[in-house]
Amino acid sequence: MDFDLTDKQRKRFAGVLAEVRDRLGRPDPPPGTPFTGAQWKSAAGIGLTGLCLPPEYGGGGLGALDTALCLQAFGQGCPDTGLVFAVAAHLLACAVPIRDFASAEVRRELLTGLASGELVAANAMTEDDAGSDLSRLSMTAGRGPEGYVLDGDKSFASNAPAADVFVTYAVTDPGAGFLGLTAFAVPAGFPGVSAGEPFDKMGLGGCPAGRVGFRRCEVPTAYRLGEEGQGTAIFQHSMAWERGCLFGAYLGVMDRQFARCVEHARQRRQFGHRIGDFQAVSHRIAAMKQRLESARLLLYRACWLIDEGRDHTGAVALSKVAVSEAAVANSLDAVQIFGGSGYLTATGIEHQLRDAVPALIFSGTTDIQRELIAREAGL
Amino acid sequence: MAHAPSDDENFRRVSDYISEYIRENFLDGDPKGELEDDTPLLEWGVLNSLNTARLIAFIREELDVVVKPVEISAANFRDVRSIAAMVARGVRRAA
Repeated sequence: MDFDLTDKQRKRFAGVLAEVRDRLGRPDPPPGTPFTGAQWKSAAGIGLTGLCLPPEYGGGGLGALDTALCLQAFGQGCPDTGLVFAVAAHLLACAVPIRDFASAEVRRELLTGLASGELVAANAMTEDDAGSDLSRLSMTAGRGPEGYVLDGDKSFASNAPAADVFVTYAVTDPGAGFLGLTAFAVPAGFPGVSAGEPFDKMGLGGCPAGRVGFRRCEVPTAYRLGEEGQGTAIFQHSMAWERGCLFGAYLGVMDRQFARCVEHARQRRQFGHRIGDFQAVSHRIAAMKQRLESARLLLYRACWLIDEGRDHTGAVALSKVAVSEAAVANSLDAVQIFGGSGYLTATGIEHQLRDAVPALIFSGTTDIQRELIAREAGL
Repeated sequence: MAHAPSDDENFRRVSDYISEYIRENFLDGDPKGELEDDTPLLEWGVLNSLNTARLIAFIREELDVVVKPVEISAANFRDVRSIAAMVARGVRRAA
């Protein structure tokens, strides 16, 4: 067993981190406002929009572990975690299923733009009555003159207000429950597609999210991903990449946060001592380190299993739970360590907590991940 | 006199085994005995994305048949009869 990164991985990580710090390291615009075109272009210029897309389409050709490492560097160097999330969701929940399941024609049409960042993609799965339970999906894809006609509403799609392409899922066989879903890539310009206004959210403000409606939207068969009825399998595949790699970004956020907490505990003095001399503070920092490092090991292993083509569902679920819960717990601890100043928005500590809470929910809730883990244990 | 079980007998046995598993695990024991070979499991929501994976694990561990990802389709999981037919094909493949 070898726990070291290779030289190549180290160099790539350092290169991405330096470029992110240089081009996206300042909070401009302030975190909490949807990403600007300039920010998205900067991220794309560093190659972040196409990390795991094939080189022939301009992507980085990376596997899951290397993609996660680059997203870790992105999360560490960029204070706008919403932007990091927006780019990672574009890549993992949308470009990955297009890479692996789209027709050759649609791959040619979309992948180059997705890799270069010219196109922004949004994953539109969640509906008002279908969150974790995909068998309750109500959007339909009936037969149309050129293939399909999509009808229905998606209630929460990250990147939707900015999207050029939607990856979406609809019912093609109403009698087949979760095996009656089919996946589609739908350009936002197709007649009948309309994205709503950005929601006001608790965190990840850099990533605009909204509703998407499909009204008598005609979609040619070439834009179907995989076969009819494979929607759930395709979604699970994209979620394995998202639950595995995207959370690398939170490792990076936690690394940056941890370094700030240590620095603060060494400098801030009360009662004639550095606050880090008090065990209440030093042990809190030790607990943060323990959560961060155990989450990191689970994440690297989960991504490695994806790359090895081995069974990874349980490992990815463990990693997702560990990273998201560590991010929330560490962010709460960071606010406590910074005290009154941590509570103030300008210090840049409290928003990490607001950016961490959604990680317990998106890409499959903690509750569902625990269900997957329990099932794998034979319950 | 002992004889090798016929395809029909194998199918019946597999089908009973799967019905029993679904009754016990997904239907609270099916006290009214409502589960039939042609009960539409997907349409009625008896099988969902979470418990279908459990059923597939059961088939792998107890019946020694690996359900391939491409086999996870509405046609193969529509009812007990379809599942048993898929498993019987898997048994023949392994034989």
